[in-house]
Amino acid sequence: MFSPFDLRGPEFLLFYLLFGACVLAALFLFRYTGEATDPPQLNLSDPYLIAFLRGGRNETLRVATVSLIDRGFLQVAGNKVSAVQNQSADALRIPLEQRLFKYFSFPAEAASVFKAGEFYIDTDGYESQLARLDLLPGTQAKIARRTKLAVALLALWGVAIIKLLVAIARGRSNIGFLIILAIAFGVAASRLARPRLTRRGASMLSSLRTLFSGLKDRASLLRPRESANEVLLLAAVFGVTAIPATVFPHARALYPRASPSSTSSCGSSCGSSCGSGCGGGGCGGGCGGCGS
Amino acid sequence: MAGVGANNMTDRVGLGWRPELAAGIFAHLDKIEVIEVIADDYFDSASGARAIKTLAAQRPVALHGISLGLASTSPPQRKRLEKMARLVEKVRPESWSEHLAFVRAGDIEIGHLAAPPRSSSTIDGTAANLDRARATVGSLPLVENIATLIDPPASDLDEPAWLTKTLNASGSKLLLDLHNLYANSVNFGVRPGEFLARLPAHKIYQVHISGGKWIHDGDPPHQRLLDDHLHDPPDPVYDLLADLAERCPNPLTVILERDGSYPPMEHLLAQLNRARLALAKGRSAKAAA
Amino acid sequence: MNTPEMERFLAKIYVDADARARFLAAPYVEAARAGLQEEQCRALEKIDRVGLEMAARSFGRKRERKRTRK
Repeated sequence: MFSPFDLRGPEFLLFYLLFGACVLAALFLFRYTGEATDPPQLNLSDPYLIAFLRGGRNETLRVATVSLIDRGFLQVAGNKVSAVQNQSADALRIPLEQRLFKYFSFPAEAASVFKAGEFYIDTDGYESQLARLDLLPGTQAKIARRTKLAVALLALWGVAIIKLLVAIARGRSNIGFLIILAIAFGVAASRLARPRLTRRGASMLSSLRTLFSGLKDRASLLRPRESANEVLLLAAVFGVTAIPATVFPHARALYPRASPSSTSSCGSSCGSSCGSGCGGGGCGGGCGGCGS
Repeated sequence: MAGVGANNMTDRVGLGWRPELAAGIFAHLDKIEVIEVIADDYFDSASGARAIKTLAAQRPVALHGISLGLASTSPPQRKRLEKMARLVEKVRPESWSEHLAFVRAGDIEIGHLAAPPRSSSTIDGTAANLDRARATVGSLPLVENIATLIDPPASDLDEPAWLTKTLNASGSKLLLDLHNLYANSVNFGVRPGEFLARLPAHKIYQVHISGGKWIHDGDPPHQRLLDDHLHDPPDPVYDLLADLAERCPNPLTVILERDGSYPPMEHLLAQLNRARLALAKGRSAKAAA
Repeated sequence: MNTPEMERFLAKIYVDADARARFLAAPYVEAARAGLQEEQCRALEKIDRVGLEMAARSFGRKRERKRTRK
């Protein structure tokens, strides 16, 4: 009877490649189809929830700091940020912002907030909210993912280990490639099984990017201090680097390591149907007056 | 938030979705009860349709079509109807609507909504088209009256009569655009209040309010009111809204339409509040009667 | 009194400036040439000329806006 473990080195490696690809594909499919996609109702009065969904704790702190600078609650001098003297935390509605304002009572580097412990209460709160909405994996989702990953690793490494033992028993020592491949598949499986967002979360983020794509297109028209709402949402949905330097010149100086968020492949929210047929608006411009 | 007026009528007030207003809408969702989305913008965009479905999870969404051209003796393009059907299936809006207009004839695209001749043959054609729409999409759209700069030629009915007969023939509900009613009234010498009084109030479920501007043309110059959606609704539109709320036995969903020259969001929200006050005034008058 | 041919004729004079000019110069003749019925031709003689020009210009602006958006 044929046994793949009797295959010679190069043939077995080819077999293992194909086998590993199938296991990874199956892992992805099982995880993907096992997660819901229907969008939940999200409390969008707090844009930092969106920032946390997109980029986690540090990104949320980054967005909040930038917004407070734009709105005149914080100021920048060199590479230090400090609270503006004649402002008060009482004027801020969101607890995270209040805490940030107090944190910068004394000038500090913008990136110092990432190590500060006092913001965990806020960011952990966002994480819990998002997990409850199944936008980030909660406890049940994590267990399901770990189980799928365990099964995949059992298959991947089980086959590799059996072959290694057979090879060693037969006096073969050219097992390096197999070990490398097994490790690589293990890493890939871990990434596929446990992406940061759930399928619902990824879909929500993609939808938000589409809904706000018009804002991104108009970013260069935003004016500092005058478009606070829009600057905040732009940063929350697309990242601090989406704010043009004309609006917020400090981004790169304050956060040299922040990288641009990948954007949705969808440009204008109107898709490709703009202008087709009738309707004076199209392209999200409304019907342009429902009459001639 | 929803206005429960006299007689426990739950009227709602909302806004048309425009990308330029996205940030303002999301920041003030608690003050916006319904969002109307232009359907045609999402016919060919799967990601766009998904995004609107996400929006529909935040607030009730009404889809508003602008290119089917249902008020016609010719059938609508099947492909467009199917696109509407797919979008409705994907988004599951609480309603969808279209205009009582024709937009093309054969291969000639007019470019916007044109008023067809107001005649019995148009009524028959419209009813047949609405039937086709229901069969394809799975539900009847609400139908909206349009503004027109030209008094439609070859008409043997006036607009209130034609609208009423069309609604009766098709079984559709009316999305009454009050600025269109107002513009057509002032442009063609009709009293807006009388126009409104002749419509079947029990068939009205949704309302649009918007604004326009006077345009001048010809020698000697003539002026007509253009419904351009670039201005605030004028006072008479709010008066008509109060009047409608007094007459109409149904809960009303009022959508403010704005397509450009966007004022600050606070200004738009103030117009929504003004609409709520007009509704409340009308409902109170109805209760007192 | 409305027919697909009538709608086609109206669409034509809305979007085509030359066709509109010819029509305004001789409405009955142009309508008859397009194959419209007697009743329709008579009705078109009484068309709202001011509205026609305004509407045609408005439709043209809308078409142009859509072209530039594409």
